[in-house]
Amino acid sequence: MRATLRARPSPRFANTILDSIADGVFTVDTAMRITSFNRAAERITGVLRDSAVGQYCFEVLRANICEQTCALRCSFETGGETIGKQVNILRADGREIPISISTAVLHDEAGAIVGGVESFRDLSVIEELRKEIAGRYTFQDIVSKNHAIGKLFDIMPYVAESESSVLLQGPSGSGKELFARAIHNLSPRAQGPFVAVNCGALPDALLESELFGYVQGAFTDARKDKPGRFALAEGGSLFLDEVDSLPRATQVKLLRVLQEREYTPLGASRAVKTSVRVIAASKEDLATLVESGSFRDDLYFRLNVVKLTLPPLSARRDDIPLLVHRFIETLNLRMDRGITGVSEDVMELLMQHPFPGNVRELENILEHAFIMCRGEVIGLPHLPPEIVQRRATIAVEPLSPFDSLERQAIVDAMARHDGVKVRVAQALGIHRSSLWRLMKKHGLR
Amino acid sequence: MITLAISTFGNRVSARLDCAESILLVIIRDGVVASRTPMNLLPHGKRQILERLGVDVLICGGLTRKCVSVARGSRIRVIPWVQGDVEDVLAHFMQHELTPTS
Repeated sequence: MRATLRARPSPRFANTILDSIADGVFTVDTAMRITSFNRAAERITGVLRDSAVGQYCFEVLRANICEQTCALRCSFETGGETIGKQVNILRADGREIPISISTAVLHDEAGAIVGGVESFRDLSVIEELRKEIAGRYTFQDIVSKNHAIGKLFDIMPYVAESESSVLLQGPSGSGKELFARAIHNLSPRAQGPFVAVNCGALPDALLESELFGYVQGAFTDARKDKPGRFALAEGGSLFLDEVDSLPRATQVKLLRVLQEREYTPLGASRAVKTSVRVIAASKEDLATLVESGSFRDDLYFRLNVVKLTLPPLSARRDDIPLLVHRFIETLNLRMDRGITGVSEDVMELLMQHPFPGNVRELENILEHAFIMCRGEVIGLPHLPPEIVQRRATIAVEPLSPFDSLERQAIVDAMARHDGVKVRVAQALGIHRSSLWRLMKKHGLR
Repeated sequence: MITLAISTFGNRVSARLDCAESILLVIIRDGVVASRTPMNLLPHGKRQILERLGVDVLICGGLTRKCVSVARGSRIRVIPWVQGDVEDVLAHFMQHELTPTS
């Protein structure tokens, strides 16, 4: 049976219908000028109907797809519909909000295209809830749902956009180079090179020539010019890991580069201009080294324009299940394997392990397990023996029975629920804030 | 001399600077338009490109909060949230009817 609309609704009647809809709805003519704009559209975009009608839709909605892959224009060209496409719009107050859009073409009675209609739903609340439930932040290749790392994610785009020197502080294996690469990749220098130097791995005598290069004849074996790392990083970023191990003489030269934006290769008579962003990293607290006199205070202040402190893995245990999943995905691809996960007792062991080697140690443990495991699930026998033996040692350490049970219950729940705190708290029948407090008490966050 | 850039989408000012893919580069000498060059922009590093082009003033559409933060660190004076036909906007600028806010 086919329904036929016999009476055409009046514009006022149509507006009343549109205003009663919770989703934003607007219509356009074939020139993309807005012909109607409902109340929800006003609320979501922050633009009043009277201002919107007659304007180009792309100047009112300001969606991130408007100028490249406009959904309405696509509907005009294909005659098809777009349903539930997720985009973001820029409100007049400068706020970006996520929306989902659906579009369709409007025809007249003769079948000719007379315009289009777009409905859109504000996804801000859903997006917030999703983040709250998933509690997961992704940033380039870094995965974390940890609160402290989440705060770093928030500021990193701004840090990346600036030209300032950055100091990354954190223990070995905490991901300093990963963060440095993320800063470079997000920066305007992303098309330029990223050059990493481990200052602690080079002998003092070689460090200067490695950093600044040398010219032919600078010393006996210098048979031809050799560019240094600064030259190789020109137009990009230079990551100086373990900057705390730079000898005093090299510290002075690095300071000059940061101040004057120039350096002199060994044996050269003229300074070379440089445009390199320095990202330094240290596992030691540089401020303490300055106090003890082993690191120059002027260089410290030059490097410490923006300081990002990375927590050890033992302080972000809630990330362990997420990291385990990520490393399994990566290792499956790299080693062409089909490992599906780790057993419960492996996850429990990992949640309790102190990880002095931090994220790198976790990755190494899983790589070892990948080699040893022939099945689909990594079990205790596949882990490095010293890790399992350490667990046995921990198990015999005297703990108060209640504390031990309490800790174990949290660890088990974390493993079962992939570290998602909302679900862990629900499973334990406690409030999230209580879970945070208990995790802190037991060194689980 | 003033080097002016207007972020464009067809013959309109692009509605969002972060999504703009082209600019009109205008050199103004002694209060007169000396040259006009349409140029494509890469999605990233717009500020650096504009700085390298020696842009003094940028006229653009909406700015995200991130763009505002980036613009603060630049020597380029920005006239944001401008809407309209590029020729009209240029005419208004030449008549000193558009003023930079930063």
